[in-house]
Amino acid sequence: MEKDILGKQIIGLISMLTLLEVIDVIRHRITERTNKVTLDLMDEPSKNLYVRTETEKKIKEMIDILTLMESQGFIVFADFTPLDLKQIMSDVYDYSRNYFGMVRKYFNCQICHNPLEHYSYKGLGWIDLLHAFLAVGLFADGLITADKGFGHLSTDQKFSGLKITVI
Amino acid sequence: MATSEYSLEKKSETEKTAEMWGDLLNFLKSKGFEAEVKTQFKIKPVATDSTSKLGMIGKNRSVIQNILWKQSHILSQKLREDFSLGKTTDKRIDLSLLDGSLSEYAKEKEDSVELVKSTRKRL
Repeated sequence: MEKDILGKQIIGLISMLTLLEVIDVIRHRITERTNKVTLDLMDEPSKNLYVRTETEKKIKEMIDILTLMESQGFIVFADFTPLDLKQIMSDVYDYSRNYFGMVRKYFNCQICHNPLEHYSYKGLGWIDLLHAFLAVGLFADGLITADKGFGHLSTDQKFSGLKITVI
Repeated sequence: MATSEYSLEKKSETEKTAEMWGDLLNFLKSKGFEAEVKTQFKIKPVATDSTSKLGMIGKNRSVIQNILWKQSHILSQKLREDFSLGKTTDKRIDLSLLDGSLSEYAKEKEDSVELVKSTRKRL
């Protein structure tokens, strides 16, 4: 997909919501993937400072690349200015009220991966739906996601103009 | 009788459309797009099959895209300032470094990433 963006066949449209979510993910992943021993050796303020510094370094790197891409016309940042957020939140509410994902059985703990039979609800959350409605409001032709749950929306008339690609 | 009912219904629809159109213009003005409204909205409102304001805006894709394009540059500069990055003008991006990186970002976020929404046309 990035080849299409870099070849300017398509323009990537990044909403502020997407940016916020990616920043959040970077914070979580750096915390989870930092060597446990490294953090164990630090006191509480040092742990926070270490993760914060590492996180900000990565976020800054990402913002640098994205803003360079923006300046060269590969992507566009979209804030909420041209959108009627009240209407969009109302659409999200209406959709959420009538939507239900699925209950699935799992056989391993999702954290330690040891055997553990349990059930979990899987489905689109309100932020996922907000992404989809924002995409419609911003006139995106497509929505690219790593979340399989979005596939459900492609069968819905409301999103018929939005090509959903799960990578 | 039937004609009269039809007329009433049509008038009601027209009024409804006009009202929504007015709402949309006021909404854009309230967001600081007075100039855009004056210069770019000199087109006749079109009735839509959707009664939502979103559907109404949908008929004016190019207007919204112009707004987006303009806002994007402002936002981009703000992000660079917020993260203490210099101006982009003297830097060119090395495309070979980026190849694959978007997919990598997407893989990193396992739950609900929605990294890039695409548009086919240049805004």
